[in-house]
Amino acid sequence: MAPARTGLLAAAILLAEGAACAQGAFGPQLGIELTSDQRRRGLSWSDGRPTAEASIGLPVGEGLQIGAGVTALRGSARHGGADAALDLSAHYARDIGTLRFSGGGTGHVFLGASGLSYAEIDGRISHSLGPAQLSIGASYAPPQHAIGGDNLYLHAGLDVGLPGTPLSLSGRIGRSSGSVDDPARSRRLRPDGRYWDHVIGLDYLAGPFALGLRYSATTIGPVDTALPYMDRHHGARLAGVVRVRF
Amino acid sequence: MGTPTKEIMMLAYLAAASLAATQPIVHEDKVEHQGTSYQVSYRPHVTTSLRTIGMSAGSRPSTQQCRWTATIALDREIHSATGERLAKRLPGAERVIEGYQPGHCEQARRTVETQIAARIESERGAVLAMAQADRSHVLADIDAAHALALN
Repeated sequence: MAPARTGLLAAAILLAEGAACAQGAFGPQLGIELTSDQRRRGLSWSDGRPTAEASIGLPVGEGLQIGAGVTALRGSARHGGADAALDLSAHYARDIGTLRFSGGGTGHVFLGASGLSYAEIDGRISHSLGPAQLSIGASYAPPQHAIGGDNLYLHAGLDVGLPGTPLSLSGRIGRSSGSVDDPARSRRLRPDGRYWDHVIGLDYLAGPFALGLRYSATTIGPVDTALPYMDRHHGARLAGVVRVRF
Repeated sequence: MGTPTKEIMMLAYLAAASLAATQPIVHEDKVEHQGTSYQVSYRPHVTTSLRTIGMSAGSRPSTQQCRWTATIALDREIHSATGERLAKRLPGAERVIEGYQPGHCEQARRTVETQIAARIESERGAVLAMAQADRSHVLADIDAAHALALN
C-alpha cells in the first residue's frame, strides 16, 4: 500500500478518464412533477391546489434546446378558469469561462380559455462558485392584450449543493412590474400592482428522483377576489414537490 | 488526499502534465507458489459519467443539476520473477458512488471533478479491502494460467 501516492493519484485517475467523461445530455429529457401548489413568481397557477406538470426538453443543436410542458391549472381564476397551461419554449445557452449565458422565449398557451395566451422573452446569467451557483435574469412580456399591458420580471437566485449529501438548497428573489393597459387582465401577473416575491427550497435528490419543499411569499396585500382574474393564492405558502426526470 | 487547495493544484498540475497519467497502485502483495515468487499489484480503474438533469429556462427557478456517477473497479497484475505477466479486472469488485451539483455539467465540471476526486479518496478503505479480499483468488488464477499454458 502506498498511501502517500493514493491521494495524489486519485485525482490523476479522474483526469486520465476525463476524455471519457461524457456529457451524456444530448438526448431528450422527460420530466414529471407533482406539487401541492404550483407557484410561479409567488403566485399560484393551480388555484392553491395540488397539480401535476409533464415536460420534455429536446436539444436540437449545440447549446440550443426546445421544450414543452403542460400543467393542470385546476380552473385557476388567475387564468380565466383554464384547464391547463402549455409552455412552449426555445432557449440558447453558451458558456464563457465560468459564466453561462442563456436566452430565449416562452409561449404560454391556456387550454380551455380563449384570448389569454401570451409570450415572453428572457435572459439569464449564471456563475458556478464551488458547490454554489449564482444566477440573475430577466423576463419581459411585451404589451399584450392577454395580460393587460407588459410585464418585466427581474430575479436573482442561489443554488447550493450541500457537499457530501444528496441535498440541494435554493433561494430566489424576484420583482414583477409593468405597464397597465387593461387593469382586469394585468391582475393575472400582478394582482395588486408591482410586487416582490421570494422562494426558498430544499431538495433531496436520489437518482432521477427529487423530493422537495418550497416556501414562497410575496409582498402582495389583501385583494378583492370578486374582481375578474383575481386569485387569492399569493400569500406565504409551503408546498411539497415530487419530481422525476429522465 | 490533501486540502481542497492542494487538490486543485494537483488537478491543475496533472491536467497540464498529461491526461494519460499512470494510475496509482493502491495495494501490493507478494505470494510464493511452487517455488516461484510473484509480485501482485492492484490499481483502481475509474469511469465517470455526467448527466445534466432538469431545466433552466425562462423565469422559473432552475431545477438543473449535474448528476455524476463514478464506478471504481480494480485491475490486478501478477508479475513473476521471470517476467511473466497476468492482468485481470476483478469481477464483481466495483464501487459505485454518485453526487450532484447545481447547474449544467459543462459549467460545473471543475467543481464536479473536485467532488469526485474527494469522494474517490474517501473510498480508499473500501478499495483497499477489495484488493485484500482478492488474495485467496491469486493462487487459483496462477494455477489456472499454468494449466492453460501446459495445454
